[in-house]
Amino acid sequence: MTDFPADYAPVADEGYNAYLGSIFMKQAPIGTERAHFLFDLKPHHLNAGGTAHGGLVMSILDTSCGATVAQMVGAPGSTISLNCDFLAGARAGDRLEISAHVTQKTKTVAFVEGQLTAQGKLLATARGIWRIFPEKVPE
Amino acid sequence: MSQHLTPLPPARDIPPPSGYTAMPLVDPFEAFVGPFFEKRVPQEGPGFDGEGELWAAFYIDERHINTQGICHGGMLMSFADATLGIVAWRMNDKHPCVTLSMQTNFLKAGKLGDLVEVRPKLVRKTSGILFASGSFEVKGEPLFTATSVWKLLKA
Repeated sequence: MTDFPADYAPVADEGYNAYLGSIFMKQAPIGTERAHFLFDLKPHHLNAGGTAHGGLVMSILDTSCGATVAQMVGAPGSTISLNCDFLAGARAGDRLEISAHVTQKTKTVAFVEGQLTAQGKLLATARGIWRIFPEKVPE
Repeated sequence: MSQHLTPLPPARDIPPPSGYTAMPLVDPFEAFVGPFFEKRVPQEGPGFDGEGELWAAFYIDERHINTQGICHGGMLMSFADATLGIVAWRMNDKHPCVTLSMQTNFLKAGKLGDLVEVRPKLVRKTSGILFASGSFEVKGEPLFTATSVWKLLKA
């Protein structure tokens, strides 16, 4: 299967995420504002030029930033807005490392920043706003 | 990315909606999440190349759904990258283009079976950079909006 570290587990692993291939998240307690993810790039994630498709990169950043919000709040939120910049391309076989953190949280929204690297090189950055539902946090 | 590439078969065989035909997809990732559909509506102006205004569409199916039972934001962003990229590619004499930046807003939830449609818009083209945007709609109601910045490659 994978050789990800033992403290990483698949995030939201159904539907679209399961179809693309699992994103693994480093396990941390509820309330932790920072999170780390790993994803292995496969041939079906690429564009015709042989680099990661921009849509795939944004999909990974959306899932990762959303999972970071869910970890911090304790319940899933919804993406309201997400802005991504593409600095360089990734290739099949690359292990993508994503880190994200919640920069601000109010009663109704959370602000998140994420970055995606491979072999230490920054490939893409994201900033987003999530609607959060603290009333849905289990007691 | 080039006019010489052979289109790839999409992962699912889904018939096009009325008035649309299957969009040729050359990116493996687009074939994997596709099919996408297209039609041309007669229109004059920059970016239309005499081929008419481009409409693009896809059906939200169970591959695109998130844990909350609605369309994953990543799928909408993937469709936006694919369709706004067509504007860049056409305006760059069908040479490759790369996404530099994309800004997206999620206005409402996309549901299983919804047909998502967009008319990708050219905003501005300079010698090496192009701006494109789109409002992605279901039954004429905005679902998702995107603006984008592209680098136009020379060959």
